[in-house]
Amino acid sequence: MIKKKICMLGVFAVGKTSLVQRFVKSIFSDKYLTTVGVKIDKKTLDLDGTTVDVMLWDLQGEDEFQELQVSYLRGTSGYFLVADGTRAFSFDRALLLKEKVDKVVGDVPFVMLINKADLTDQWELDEAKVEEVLAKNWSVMKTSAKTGENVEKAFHTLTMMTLEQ
Amino acid sequence: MALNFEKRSVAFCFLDQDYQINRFGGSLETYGLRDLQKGQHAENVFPFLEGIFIGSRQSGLMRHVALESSVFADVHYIFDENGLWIVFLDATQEVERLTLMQQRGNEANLLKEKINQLNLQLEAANSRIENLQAELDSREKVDCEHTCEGK
Ligand SMILES: Nc1nc2c(ncn2[C@@H]2O[C@H](COP(=O)(O)OP(=O)(O)O)[C@@H](O)[C@H]2O)c(=O)[nH]1
Ligand SMILES: [Mg+2]
Repeated sequence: MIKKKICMLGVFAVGKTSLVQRFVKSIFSDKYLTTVGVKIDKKTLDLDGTTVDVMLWDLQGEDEFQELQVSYLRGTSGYFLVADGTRAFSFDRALLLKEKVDKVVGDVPFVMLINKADLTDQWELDEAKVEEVLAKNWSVMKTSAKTGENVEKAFHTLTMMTLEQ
Repeated sequence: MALNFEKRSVAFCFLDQDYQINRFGGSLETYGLRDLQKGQHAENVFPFLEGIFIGSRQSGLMRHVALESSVFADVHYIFDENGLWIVFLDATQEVERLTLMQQRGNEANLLKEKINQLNLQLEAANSRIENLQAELDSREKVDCEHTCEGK
């Protein structure tokens, strides 16, 4: 059985927990419940005939209480860098976080998710910064944990990337 | 508090070089770890150790790992020449305390962010109004210059 560990990274309240819950349990709640520490969920995927057990590590977001604990990242096969489209600050912080994570895990696949796509009328991202990121050839997707938009696709894409590594 | 082992339900498990369970003890059931058996491969029992088995044999600590429903553990992993010790300490109370504090703090910070955003929008609206006003003023002046000329 192939196993892949995938970590959810990003500042607090961008939707890391919601994305995992949507993907694993097909549920969504508007109520914000902060995550402390780490919760690990598992989902078995069938990707073009290959069965993969994906272990999703839903980490506590960086906030004023805690910086990212790097011990959680050990042996990760890939990660999501999650930002909240309605909070420009979460996008900037995601970029900083990426630099930090790279130093720990090295060159592993990642996908950047700009979440809360159902609220695009409230998005406030700096177009220039987004363009800059797109120019890096990163894999970037707009998702909504609320509607489910692109959620399945995002997890499949990243898992495929980890298989190709 | 960290030294108050009794209250923190210590449990341990020793894995051999192949990461098979070799020895275990303590209050494992606190952590939902029942029916452990010698020779079992740890990977199938401890999903949260995924990643520890790969790469360097460096010891460490993973704090606040959610295990059995609503139980959290600090998981120490200590490599020695014969294998790997996994030591569990209950962190549920600490996590509950942190959750309360963090929930309030993060909610307050989200509000602060929202207020900042609204302020920026207000400022932008204000400066648009000021610009419009300035434009109107200058037009009025030009208009006046035209109409006042003949008098
Ligand atoms: N409208 C909308 N709200 C979302 C979405 N994803 C998460 N949220 C909300 O954002 C808040 C924070 O989500 P959560 O998953 O706890 O964020 P985390 O701290 O990154 O794990 C919660 O109130 C969620 O209901 C989304 O795609 N759309
Ligand atoms: Mg969370």
